[in-house]
Amino acid sequence: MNGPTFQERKRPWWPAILLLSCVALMAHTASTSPGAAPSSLDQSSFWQLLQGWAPIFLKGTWVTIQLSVLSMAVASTLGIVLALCRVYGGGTASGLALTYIEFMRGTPLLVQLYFIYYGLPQLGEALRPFFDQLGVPGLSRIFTLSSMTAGVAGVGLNYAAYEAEIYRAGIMAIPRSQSEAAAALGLTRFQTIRLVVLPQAFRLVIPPVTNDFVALFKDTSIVSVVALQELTDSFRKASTSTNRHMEFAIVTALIYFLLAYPLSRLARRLEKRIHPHHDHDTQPL
Amino acid sequence: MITIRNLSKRYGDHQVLDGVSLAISKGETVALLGPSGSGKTTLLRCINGLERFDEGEIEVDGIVISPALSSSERQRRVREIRIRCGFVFQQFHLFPHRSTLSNLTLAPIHVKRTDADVAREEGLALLEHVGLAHKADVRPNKLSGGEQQRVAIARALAMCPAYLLYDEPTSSLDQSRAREIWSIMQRLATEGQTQIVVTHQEELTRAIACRVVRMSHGKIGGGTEANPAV
Ligand SMILES: Nc1ncnc2c1ncn2[C@@H]1O[C@H](COP(=O)(O)OP(=O)(O)OP(=O)(O)O)[C@@H](O)[C@H]1O
Ligand SMILES: [Mg+2]
Repeated sequence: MNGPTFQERKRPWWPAILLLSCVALMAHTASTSPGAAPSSLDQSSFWQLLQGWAPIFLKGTWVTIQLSVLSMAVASTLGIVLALCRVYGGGTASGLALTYIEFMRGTPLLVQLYFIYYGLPQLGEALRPFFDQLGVPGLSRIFTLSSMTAGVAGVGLNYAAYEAEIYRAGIMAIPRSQSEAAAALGLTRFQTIRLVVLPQAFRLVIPPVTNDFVALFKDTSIVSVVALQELTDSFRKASTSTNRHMEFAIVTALIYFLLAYPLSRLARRLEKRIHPHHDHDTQPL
Repeated sequence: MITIRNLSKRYGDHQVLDGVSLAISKGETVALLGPSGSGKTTLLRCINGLERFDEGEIEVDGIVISPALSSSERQRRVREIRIRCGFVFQQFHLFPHRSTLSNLTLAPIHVKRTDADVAREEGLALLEHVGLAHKADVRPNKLSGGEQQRVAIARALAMCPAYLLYDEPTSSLDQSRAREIWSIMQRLATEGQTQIVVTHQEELTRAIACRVVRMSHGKIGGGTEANPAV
């Protein structure tokens, strides 16, 4: 094994401090509790409150995780396809991909979500006469998406545009001579991309893609507007019905943070580990 | 047999190749010499389709490419030619994400569909041949320039090419590294490997070339000369 060694194994200290101070703050408000919130519906201590709300927060967290993972899958897959179209697609495909990317990056995710969740069903309704004529009246119903599907579609399709630009930069960073060396060996264009260009490009884009995943993870919070019962939705329910906005905001932020922080650390580790020492295999990646 | 007929290529109004005709028969080692900018690299790259040309045609073992071909037909034929012609670059261009050995096995496995174990065995034998068997699992960036070029030659040889094209294979190496490469090329020449070598180094031509072809201003100049040393 001749992998590089890394000295920066020390864990940063500030997350621990941040975490501790949050917990201390909550403990403090919990103990000095009632008076601070005059209109509070429930005057019991925050800890008891939190226990009551825990199942809802747990479920919300789980939904947020699912939403994030699925959206990342959509964003990565579509992002690679878009990037390949941009780089290798020639006039039409490249132009279409560029249009998609610019449009998605130039419009707010919130509006996109509203369109997918509330707008599409109306479109389906408007098209109903047409589908009736075609003899498939049921077709108008597929325009109505569940909250989860709409969320995955919205976040995934939106982030695909950003991933595409990252992947494109990665592909463009691989010198032309690499493709020429592969072509000179008789590899087809497709094999050259798959076996020589993409594996090198992937390595380059791991850090920016991971950063984007952390951002995506946090942006899933917007999906609460289309009635998905994810983490931010749990927070909104808990805080409005108990009027404990500050405490629940801290709890919610902590949950997001505790999930996002390991992700970015894991990413940093993966980035190093992705350089395998041996690969006489034939695997593309 | 490689036959180049009346090849011309322009970049804008700069005539890079000007009616080049040349035949290379099996078993020959040909050195292509000429001043900088005379079109040597361009000619070599035209042979294996890395560069297009405007007029004339190139025939490699009966496969003909010419500017008239449709792009899909050209692509098909160029690929056939590339499988027959190994190419060695001045700057090696090994694949940095793969070990030395898997640089060698990539093309046999994916182009010739050689069984992976067989390809590995043949790859190891070739590495042995260029004195680098002990570096099989090492990444190219851990190799010296001379070692990288030896791997690059082995990578080309792994496809058992009928022809090996070199573009200044030792120009970026110091003298002693260069000599190691030359002795490999010399050995290949005596084994009957057909080779075309673009070079500036007269010493290399003296060491290995059977025939010297000189180019200037995109033309094959002054006929070709047999190398008295061989
Ligand atoms: N992509 C290009 N665009 C425009 N001109 C080019 C291009 N590639 C090569 N040329 C020109 O074509 C001519 C021949 O280039 P080529 O690389 O074949 O020369 P060479 O004989 O290999 O020179 P050297 O010995 O310096 O490598 C040069 O004048 C060069 O400037
Ligand atoms: Mg040159």
